[in-house]
Amino acid sequence: MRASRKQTPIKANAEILVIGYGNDLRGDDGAGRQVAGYVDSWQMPGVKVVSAHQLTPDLCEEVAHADTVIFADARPARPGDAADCSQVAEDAKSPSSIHASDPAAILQIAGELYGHRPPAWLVGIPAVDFEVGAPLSETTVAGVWQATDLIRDLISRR
Amino acid sequence: MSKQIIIDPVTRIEGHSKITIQLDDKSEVVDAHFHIAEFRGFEKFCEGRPMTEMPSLTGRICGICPVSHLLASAKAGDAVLAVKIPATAEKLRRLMNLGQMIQSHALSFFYLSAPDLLLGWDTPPETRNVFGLIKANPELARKGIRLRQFGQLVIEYLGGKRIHPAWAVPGGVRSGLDPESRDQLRARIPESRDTALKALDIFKKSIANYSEEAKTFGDFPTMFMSLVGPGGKWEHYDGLLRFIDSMGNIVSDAVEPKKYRDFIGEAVEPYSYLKFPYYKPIGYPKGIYRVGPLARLNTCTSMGTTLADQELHEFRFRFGVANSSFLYHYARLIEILAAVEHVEHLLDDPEITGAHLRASADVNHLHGVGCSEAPRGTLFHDYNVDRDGLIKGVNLLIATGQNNLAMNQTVAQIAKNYIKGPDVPEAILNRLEAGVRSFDPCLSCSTHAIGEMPMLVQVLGHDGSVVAERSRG
Repeated sequence: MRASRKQTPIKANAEILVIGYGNDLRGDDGAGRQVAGYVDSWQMPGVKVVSAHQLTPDLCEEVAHADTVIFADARPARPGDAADCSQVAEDAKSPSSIHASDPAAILQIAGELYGHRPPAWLVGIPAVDFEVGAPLSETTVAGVWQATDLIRDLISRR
Repeated sequence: MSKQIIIDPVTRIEGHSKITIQLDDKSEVVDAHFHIAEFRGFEKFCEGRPMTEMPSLTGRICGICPVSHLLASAKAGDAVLAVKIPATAEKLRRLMNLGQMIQSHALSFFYLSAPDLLLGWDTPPETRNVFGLIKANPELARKGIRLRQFGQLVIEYLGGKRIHPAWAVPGGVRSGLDPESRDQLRARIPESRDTALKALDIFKKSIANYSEEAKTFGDFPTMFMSLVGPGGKWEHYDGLLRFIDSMGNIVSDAVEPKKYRDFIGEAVEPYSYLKFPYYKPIGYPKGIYRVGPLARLNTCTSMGTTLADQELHEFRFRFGVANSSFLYHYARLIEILAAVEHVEHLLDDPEITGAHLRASADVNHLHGVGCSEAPRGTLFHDYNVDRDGLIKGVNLLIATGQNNLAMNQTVAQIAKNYIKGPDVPEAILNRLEAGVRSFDPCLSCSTHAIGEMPMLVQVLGHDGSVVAERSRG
């Protein structure tokens, strides 16, 4: 299955914040952080990378100061599924709790507290196994590479 | 007809729990319990592991206070190796513990408790949360977020990451603090101090609104325990144990942490996986004692820093030896201020950027106890090892566990005060939860469990049948 790609422009010279998050002690849930690690290794100018256990309000200041944000997270999927990318709706709101926030919640807080809610994308990495301590599944390993391709594509469009 | 009311799960605390309230035939509260249904098992599955792994292993107990376990475990390892760690290493460990204190207390106050305290207990649940706080007072929310971030930056700059840093090890620490990072932290001190003072100001001005809560959220006499430093000063990393009674009289003093078993026993009850520690000379359950911010402020002679000592003076002028668990919130804010001031002193110490970080040795003792003050209270890691340094036995005495008896009594007190019949309004349910939240319990730490429970409140008849049911969230 081919990964979907959203054709959305990113303005030139944008400061891009990439946030990969998840629990790397729980199998495929750590995929987001793996992706963040790879993106960070590119050392691209204008690209800042955060690898986090989970999304917390402490991130909202960095989010508010970015021109564009790319979130990378594992999503429950079936074996063989591919990574995908979708834009977080500009008016998306989330009633999430303070601990387990989602991209919409962080963007909402950034907008409320700092007056800037940047455009954002969510790259979903397919995940099938969330057991404690398990290595990444085959589906997720493939998904991580697909996700990095998607992120590279997003960044290259600026 | 007697009834049982269940709150399951309790929200806006770390970990999972439920509260049951038993009504008699006249619909009066006869008893209440705070149940922990989680079980983690670290004390068992760590057997056979190398002692050197224990800081990283036990750091995984919790995602909020991993530093506390990291440090207590490393100290147990220091004892097994029989080393005195280098001065720079001790100062760096202290720095990290202070960062931990700041971020944890800031989380507790601004994220978990402030929605109740500042928006009001009767605000609808859908707005009585951090989003409601952001709308009501965005400036305070912003400051609270940055204050927590400051504590996390201390941890990150030392340990490489904010959660589960693999940094403190038996004998010292793995990496130091470079001058640039030190200066970046130092630059955040004025703002952090101002935020702590602002939060204290807001709380003190509004405390008159909480007179009923102060009387009913765990206001009963107990002993208190914490580490204290030389001269009884507020201590968070080292020192000796002090027990005081509810009037402030010292009951036991200068107790070496490695002798904790002579003073602290652990009971179990069938309705909870959380153990029930008690003061042994008095016995169970009358040997109830509390730990954590309120205990530390009650047991110490001073905070050791200028502004925090002023606040402590005012706190004692108003409350004396504070016995109301509601005042944990106040104590937490004073500790944030003290921690920020102590961080500043450490950053000004030239040894903080030193390079000698670790002492080396082999196993010299087959038993070691590490003790430090976690944000929630005194934490003990007790290890028995073999000659190869493999773990043979582990006992973890967690801060939250030591408050278990008090949390149960708090729930019962609130229930008896507010529940006058089988119908339980939402606001009173939140007061029950808020009473527990005063302790800022970390149930994931204290029971070593992972679990998920649906949000359900059930009223049961005396025959166990469900009389009424309400779900939340």
